[in-house]
Amino acid sequence: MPDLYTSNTQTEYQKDQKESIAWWKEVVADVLKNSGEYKRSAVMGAYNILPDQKFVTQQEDEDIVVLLRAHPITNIPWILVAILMLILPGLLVSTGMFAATPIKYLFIGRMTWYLMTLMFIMEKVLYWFYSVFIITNERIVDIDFYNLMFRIVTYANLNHIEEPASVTGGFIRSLFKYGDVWVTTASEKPTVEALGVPYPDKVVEIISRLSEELEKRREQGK
Amino acid sequence: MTDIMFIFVKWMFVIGLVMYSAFAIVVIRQVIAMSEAVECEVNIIFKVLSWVHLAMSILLFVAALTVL
Repeated sequence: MPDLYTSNTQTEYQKDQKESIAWWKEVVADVLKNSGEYKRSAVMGAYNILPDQKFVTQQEDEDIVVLLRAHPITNIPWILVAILMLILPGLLVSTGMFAATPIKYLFIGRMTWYLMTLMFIMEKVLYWFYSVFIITNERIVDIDFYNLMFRIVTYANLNHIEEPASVTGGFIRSLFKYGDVWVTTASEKPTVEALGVPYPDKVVEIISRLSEELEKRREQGK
Repeated sequence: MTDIMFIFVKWMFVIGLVMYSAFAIVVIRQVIAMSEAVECEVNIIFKVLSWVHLAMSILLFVAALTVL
């Protein structure tokens, strides 16, 4: 029996999607070129352009344009604490306050202390590494870990962004070129922020340009 | 009197290290959750480190139980 009706909806949808992906790739390439950026990873992995990474809830047609972490210099305070923690047992023993303590107790005590120090270091590295601010071709994603049990993921669509802003200031921040990025959105939670990230001006420029391109596309009715 | 004090310290170490080992298991679970949040090549290093951390805490617990 001949087909009375053949639907083209599926193929049209796929064609639209392919066109959309191609359009986005072109836009992202233009935006990065105009911002003087190219595929790279800098500042010890804190500033990544077009990284080969994936994140939770990433959609099939979504590509990461920028992935940011806090500037490594922001880790200095806890690194100093960790160094202090590492030398503290030696210092205390050298004062002679544990002279009467059996060596086996001293050994287990010291090992426990070093294990806790290792945990402290691991925890700080994990927070730093996994607390990321991501700009994709569709939205902004802010993943924050506050402690080992607590994670907050904030999303903001690029077409809901109202005014991205960057805040830099102070000697250290100016010297190492890092600062905060604030993105105001029209949603209930008004801002998405990236604190202490490298090159905040560049980040704002990229967000603005991407948002602008999206707005242009919407005006054209695509 | 000193012996009683050292026995008390020993059991404080043992109980503390049991709790610490339980915490080390939570850390492994959290590292897995974190590596799902951002997928990249170094995830495996953090996973191995968290397992090494658990192994060390169990080893220390056994040491506290037997050596002290």
